[in-house]
Amino acid sequence: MSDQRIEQFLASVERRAYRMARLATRNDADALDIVQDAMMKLAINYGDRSEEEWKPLFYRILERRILDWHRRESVRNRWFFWRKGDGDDEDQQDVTENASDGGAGNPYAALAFERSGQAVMEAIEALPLKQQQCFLLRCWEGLSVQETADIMGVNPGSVKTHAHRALQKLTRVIEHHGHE
Amino acid sequence: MNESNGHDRNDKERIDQERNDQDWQDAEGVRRVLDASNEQLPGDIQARLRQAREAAVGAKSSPAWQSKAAWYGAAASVALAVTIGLLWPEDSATDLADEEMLYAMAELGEEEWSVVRDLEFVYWLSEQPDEAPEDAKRSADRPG
Repeated sequence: MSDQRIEQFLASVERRAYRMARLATRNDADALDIVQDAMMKLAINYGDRSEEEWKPLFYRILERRILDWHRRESVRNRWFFWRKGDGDDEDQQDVTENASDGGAGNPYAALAFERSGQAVMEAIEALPLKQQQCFLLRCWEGLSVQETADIMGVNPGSVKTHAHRALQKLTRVIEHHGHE
Repeated sequence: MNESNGHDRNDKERIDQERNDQDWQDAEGVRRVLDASNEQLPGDIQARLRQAREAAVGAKSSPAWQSKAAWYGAAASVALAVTIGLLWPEDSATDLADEEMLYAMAELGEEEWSVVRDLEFVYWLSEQPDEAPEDAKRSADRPG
């Protein structure tokens, strides 16, 4: 029964977790590794905890894994700087290539939605990591300011500031594409 | 005066709350884009996520896997600790930039950290004199 519950929980968060990791790493394989690692860690180490604890714990693990990935990348880029930009372009799948039925039934509206969607995704990818994570946890996953602060190890004021700044940037992108 | 401070704080909290609510509403367009991108994840990604989930649930209910993982984790920790010790002997440790050391340490998982901490403790213990300085002094002063 407990296994079933944790499976249901993981199924409920896996896509968002993948998307968060994908936006942070811009790489499918790394994002999948991070999510798999976070799932494994939650199930093995915290599977016996109460269900209410799973969500913040899972996102805390995910957040740490994303941070670790960035640290490793910064070290790798420092040591292997001459390989920067090599060959990974094919892995950089267009995240919105299948995206959305935002303009269903109207090909022009669909195209506009897809273009604006792509611009928004690129803008999220380009956000500084803390802004990106704060925004996604707060404004997409719907966690409270305090929960987000606990997960990210920052104070609640920083969460509000980071999320607000991220939103300002993203709103500008949406407005720009909305008025094209 | 206190009443005025109380009002200021209430005003600040209200403005803060309003800004938060406004942010949530303003984020609706972005949420739609993100939700749409998730609704149509490529099939291979969905399959990989399902496999990862099943592996995690399987691992939870498999003590054998856990003990094996613990064994591998411990072995990897010792190997890491030895590597760190070999690569950064005491004499050259000061040549390393603090930041590089920080990044290298940041790559250690929780299990590895606990082993490194244990090793640090064992090393510290081995460096300690057999008796505390006060005890040593007392035993030296003691006649006989």
